[in-house]
Amino acid sequence: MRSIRARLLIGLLASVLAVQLIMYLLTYARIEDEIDDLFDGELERSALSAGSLAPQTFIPTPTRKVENPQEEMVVSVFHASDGVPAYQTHPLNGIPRSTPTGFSKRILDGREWRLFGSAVGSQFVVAAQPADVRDRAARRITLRSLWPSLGALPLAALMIWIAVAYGLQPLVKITQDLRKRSHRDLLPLDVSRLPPDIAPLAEALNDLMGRLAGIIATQRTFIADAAHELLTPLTALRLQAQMLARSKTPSRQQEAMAELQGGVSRTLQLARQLLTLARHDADGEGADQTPVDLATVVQRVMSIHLPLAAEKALQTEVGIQESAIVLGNEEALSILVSNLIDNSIKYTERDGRVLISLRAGSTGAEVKIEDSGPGIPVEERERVFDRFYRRRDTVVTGSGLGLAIAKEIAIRHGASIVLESSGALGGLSARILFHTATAA
Amino acid sequence: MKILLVEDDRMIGWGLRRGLLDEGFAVDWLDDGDAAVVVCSEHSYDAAILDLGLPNRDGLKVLAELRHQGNTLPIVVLTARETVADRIKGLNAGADDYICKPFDFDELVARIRAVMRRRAGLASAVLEYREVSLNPTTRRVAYKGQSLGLSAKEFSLLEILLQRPGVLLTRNQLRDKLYGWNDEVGSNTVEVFIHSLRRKLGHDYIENVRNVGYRVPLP
Repeated sequence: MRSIRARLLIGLLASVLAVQLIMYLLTYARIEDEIDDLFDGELERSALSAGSLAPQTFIPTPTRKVENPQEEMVVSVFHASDGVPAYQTHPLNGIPRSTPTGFSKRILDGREWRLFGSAVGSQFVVAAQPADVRDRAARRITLRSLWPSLGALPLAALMIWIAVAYGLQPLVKITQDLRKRSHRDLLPLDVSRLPPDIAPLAEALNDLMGRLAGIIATQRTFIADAAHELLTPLTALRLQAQMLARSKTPSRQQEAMAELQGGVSRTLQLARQLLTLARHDADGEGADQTPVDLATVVQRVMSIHLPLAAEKALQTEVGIQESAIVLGNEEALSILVSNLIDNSIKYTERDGRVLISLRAGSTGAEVKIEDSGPGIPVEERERVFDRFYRRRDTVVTGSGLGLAIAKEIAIRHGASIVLESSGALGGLSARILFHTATAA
Repeated sequence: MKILLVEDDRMIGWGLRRGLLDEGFAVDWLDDGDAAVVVCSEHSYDAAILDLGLPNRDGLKVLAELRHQGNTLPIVVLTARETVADRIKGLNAGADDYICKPFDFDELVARIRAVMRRRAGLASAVLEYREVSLNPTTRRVAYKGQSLGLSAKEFSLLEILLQRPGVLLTRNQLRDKLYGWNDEVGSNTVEVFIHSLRRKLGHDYIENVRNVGYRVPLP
């Protein structure tokens, strides 16, 4: 793209030239009129002064050398009574006696001539002059009057260049300001000190930087939180390893080894969840959306969790009436459903019940997970979705990320998660509501 | 030597308790800040390990509350908050020492021993009295220059008595310092350990004040 400076220079110079051309044409028309008046006056005066002389005073000088026949005025005198030519200043064929009185035009010798005829006493006088003499004079005078301003064009270009540079100064200043900034400095530009032309650009830039600063702050907090959260399982691991090293009897070693393995699993789970969160943070909305059958998702997730449920002797029921197709990422949706089912199985005590159902209707689909566990008090139902939030009194080891991840995925899919008390089982009821599903 | 452990993370709590027991401490483990304040007003401990990120009541508030009540219990604070500002805040709130996660267990034990020593007004880590020399760190006892084999409880009992020679401790106080809540305690265990210590160190080394308690007598 051509620079603003070049665009302005070209545009302004073209405008100046166009204006000059119009000026030339207007001036030329005016000068032509003036010249006509001037030359006509001369023609008339010459004819009248020739006519006022007595015929006998004329000295016929047909051989007189014409110095500049192009511009020469020719005066012809006729006897008024018989129309016989009495005198002519230069040889020119065909100036007729029948020339009308006053001004007229006629082609003589292949040129256009301007004529003036008038009866003066007993004579009829005609003064003639080539018409193109006037055109040339008009052009010459016009060009002469315009020449200085054409000569000033380079000067105009230079001044335009300087003026444009002056006009572009605020832009240059903003550019320098932005260039000097560190990547951390996302404070808004001072719009009040900018000309109204670029203020909207600066405002748009401020808006973008503001959003960017928000995202960076969120990411930074997340990294700090994540690092902080990693410290706890790592501390446990270190301690467990030290305890294993100190164990002297086989039974002690076994116990310490079991603890250490538990610690490793927990650390791995946290790392895995952090990765999941980071990935779903990075994925833009609508990334690789395909039609996914929620029935398949629920069944697959359930089959993974069944052994855990069986270990705790939980009574599980899965009620799927029909398929429900939603647009989304199958892996993400599996994580969403899995995290909620996992919570139910973890928090429900032995011999409890977990109910999972999928319903599809005209308004959307609903995955519902109910349990007979301890439930979540109303005042905590919002906070449990916060990252790293862990409810007190929990006996279950976790990272506090499961629900945060679930919520993130739900938002990406235009779904919502509703936590309530389960009317049927007395524990928690978690519902995932998809608003755009189609029953199949 | 009895330690109150306040830590809400089950795995860290387990590891710390196990390690401290191995080091010969009696351990009471709590996972709740409010409970810690109550327990401290009812029981006497030789030191406490306090995690700052506690449910219910933040560790710093527990610390401030204990100090407000005039409790001088040596407290080592355990935390993942490792900035200098956090440390200063913790120490100003009344912590005796500060250790950041992830910590080394041996360092933690050394720091606990150090704060206990400071509180008892002892300059040296080794307790020496009347030809007995007891090193809590190496868990070795020498009597008249000869190494002496003691069981873990015998060692702890002797350590308790040697920390403040001449001070009378009741049977219940001694039992309290020897056992945590979850330890099974026989009805006459203290007497049993006193008996075996006397057998190894001579009857006069530990004095029995009838119906009151025991002490290492001053000359």
